[in-house]
Amino acid sequence: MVVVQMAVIVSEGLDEVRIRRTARFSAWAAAVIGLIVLAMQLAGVFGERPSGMKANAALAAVLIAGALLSAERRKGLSRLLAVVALAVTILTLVENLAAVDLGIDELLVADPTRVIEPGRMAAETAIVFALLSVGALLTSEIPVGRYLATAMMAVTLFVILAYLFGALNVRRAGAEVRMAPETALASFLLSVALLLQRAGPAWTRLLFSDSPAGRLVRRFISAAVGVAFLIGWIRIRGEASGLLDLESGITVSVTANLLILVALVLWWGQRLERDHQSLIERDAALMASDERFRLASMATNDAIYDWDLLHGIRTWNGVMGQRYGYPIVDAGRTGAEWLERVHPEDRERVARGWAAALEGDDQVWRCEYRTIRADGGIDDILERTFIMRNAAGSAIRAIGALTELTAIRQAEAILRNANVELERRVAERTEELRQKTDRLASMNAELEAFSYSVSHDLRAPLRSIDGFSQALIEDNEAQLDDAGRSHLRRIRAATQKMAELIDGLLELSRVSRTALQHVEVDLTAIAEQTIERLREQNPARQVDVSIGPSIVVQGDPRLLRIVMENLLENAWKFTSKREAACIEVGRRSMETTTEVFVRDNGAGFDPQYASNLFGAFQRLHPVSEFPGTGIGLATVQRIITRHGGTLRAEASPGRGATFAFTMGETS
Amino acid sequence: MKMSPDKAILLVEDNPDDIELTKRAFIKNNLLNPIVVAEDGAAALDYLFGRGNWSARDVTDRPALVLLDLKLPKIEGIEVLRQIREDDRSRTIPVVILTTSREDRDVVESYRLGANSYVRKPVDFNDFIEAVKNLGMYWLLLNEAPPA
Repeated sequence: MVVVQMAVIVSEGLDEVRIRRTARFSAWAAAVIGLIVLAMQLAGVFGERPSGMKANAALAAVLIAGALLSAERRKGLSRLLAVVALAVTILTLVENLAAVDLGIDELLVADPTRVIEPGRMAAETAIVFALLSVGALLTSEIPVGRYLATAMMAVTLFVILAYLFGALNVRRAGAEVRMAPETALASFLLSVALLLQRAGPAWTRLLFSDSPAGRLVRRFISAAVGVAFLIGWIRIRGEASGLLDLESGITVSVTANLLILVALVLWWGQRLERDHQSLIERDAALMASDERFRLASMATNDAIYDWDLLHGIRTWNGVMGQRYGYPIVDAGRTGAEWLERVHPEDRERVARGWAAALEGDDQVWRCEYRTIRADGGIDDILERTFIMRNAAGSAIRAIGALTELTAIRQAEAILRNANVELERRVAERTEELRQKTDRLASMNAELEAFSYSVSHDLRAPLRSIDGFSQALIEDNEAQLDDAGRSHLRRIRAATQKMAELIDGLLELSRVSRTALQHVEVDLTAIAEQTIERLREQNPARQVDVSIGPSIVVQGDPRLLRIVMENLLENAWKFTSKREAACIEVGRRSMETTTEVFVRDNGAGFDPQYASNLFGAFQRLHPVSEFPGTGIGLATVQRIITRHGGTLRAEASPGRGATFAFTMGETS
Repeated sequence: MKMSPDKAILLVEDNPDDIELTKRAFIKNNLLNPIVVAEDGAAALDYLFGRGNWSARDVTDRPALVLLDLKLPKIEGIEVLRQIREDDRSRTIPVVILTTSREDRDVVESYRLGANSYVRKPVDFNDFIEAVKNLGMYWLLLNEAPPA
């Protein structure tokens, strides 16, 4: 738990207390002096002391002290006392000026000294006390009283010093009545009390202040007083003993005064300078810290507050004004004021949460809610507060920040919507895809049914045409002439041709429809078997065949067999007009892949028509020259493409052809 | 070599041209077994199980061989094969699928249902005669039917 000292600085109050205390002490001291003198006079123990304090002077001192002490609480009494003191002193002055005896001097005590005017106080004493009485009476004109007090202080100080330095000798009295030393002291104390009445003038505050300047002033004044007195005394003693004459005495005192005062001023000046420097540094550190805080709060863009819970005062940083549009003083100095800025729907929740946080012992309180900006807009915010507590655990201070979440919330909402939209589109696409797949599947099924019926229904009539043509040749040979037999042979050849076309088309469509297998396929073996079959079918042909060893690729064995058979049958067919026919099957490495090729030295073709090669029913040679359906290479092309590979052909007329294919990634 | 020339061959075929050509091919190969023709699947099953037009027939006199086309009216060839293989009376009769189709599903399905062989009818009649010759040699001459 964090305990924070709420340092309430009341230095001014402390100064005031000290000043009043000093004023009261001075008045009491003067009163005590007066009372002691009075008591001694009444008791007759004062003896023969012609220049001592007279009874009326002591009475006046007591009256003025009483007037000053009762000035604040009992104004009537204070005035009465001051008026009596004034009357006594004025009458005494009248006696002096008019040279009459009004009989007031020995009213209280008979003066045994029998000096010029027995029992009468000195004229200057009467003036000083009269003026002090006037000062005490002038409560509504305090400045006038203070001027009087200051003047009286100077006069009485002079008298005190005169006694101390021997300018006035108590023992030498008798020729004239002078102000007595105790009277001078009492008057001085009364002057101080009058000056400091009602907390004194502004300049006296410095004398009592706890500040460095106050301390400095007090020390300097006491040092200056001490030094001046000491040097004066030394000079007087020096002159009295004959060590110093007037000129050298002045020289010594001025020099000593200068040296000591200058030294003191320099010493205290240095201390003041040091204090000032450290103050500047502290100030700079404070400003840097302040600036850091201000910049940090600008960086976070949080509205930050410091809330004195004891006095209910909340101070906000500038963001509150910039972001939320409330003047800082208007942003809610108390919790209730801030709640007004909270969205009505969240208000109760926030208030309850905050109350619970204050009650509990958590240090941190977090709450998300909505606020209303000055312009009426609504913000989502996160409030985070650090609560400080005293030793008893009650919250005394809270430092908090409002982080704006509006943008984050909006982004989240956008993201959420985008996700929903994305899911909806994915679902849409999935549905579209499913429908397409269904359509494709049904189209495939139709195609399959079509192929099936093509295979069945188109071939059946061909079989009949062929079968009965053959039957005609066999059964009715006698009735047919050569032309008739030739016609029947042509009918049968055309029938075969059509059957081949139908088979080729079926194969082409099957290549596209069937699922691919991916296994190792030995193309060397397939090539060897195919060549063996071709040799059996055409035993008369001499073909030089070379097949590379162990050409193994990854792919569909049935489809790759169709590829090899087609390419080799083509090579076999187009070399049929060569005396020394050559067919070569091999493999060669290309830059990134390897390709399998079937090369022959047959009829070849013009490369400018190469693009026609792989279309169904496209032929580059007349059927009379080389029979064929024109479907084989289209089928090969489709199989290679399905394997992810490419098929290409290079040739020139009369110089053979090479068909090469790659197998894509699976080769 | 054991022959069963008196036993009938059941030809299940709806195309009259094919019936005629098949008969011709058998004759050309000197296979002289009587050929019973059923022109749809239902008729073939009637013959085998002595129903309908064939109710008077002795069903224990089983054919030596059934040549079965797959594309048939009324009852498909595959269904006929299934029923032949399901019934004890006909289970052991050799059935050769005789069709124009090279579609894989027919081959796979007919073998799965217990067809003994599969012969594609070539367009070239001479090839067909050759095929029938092989057929007859194997199923009628070489392959002795199991005892009833």
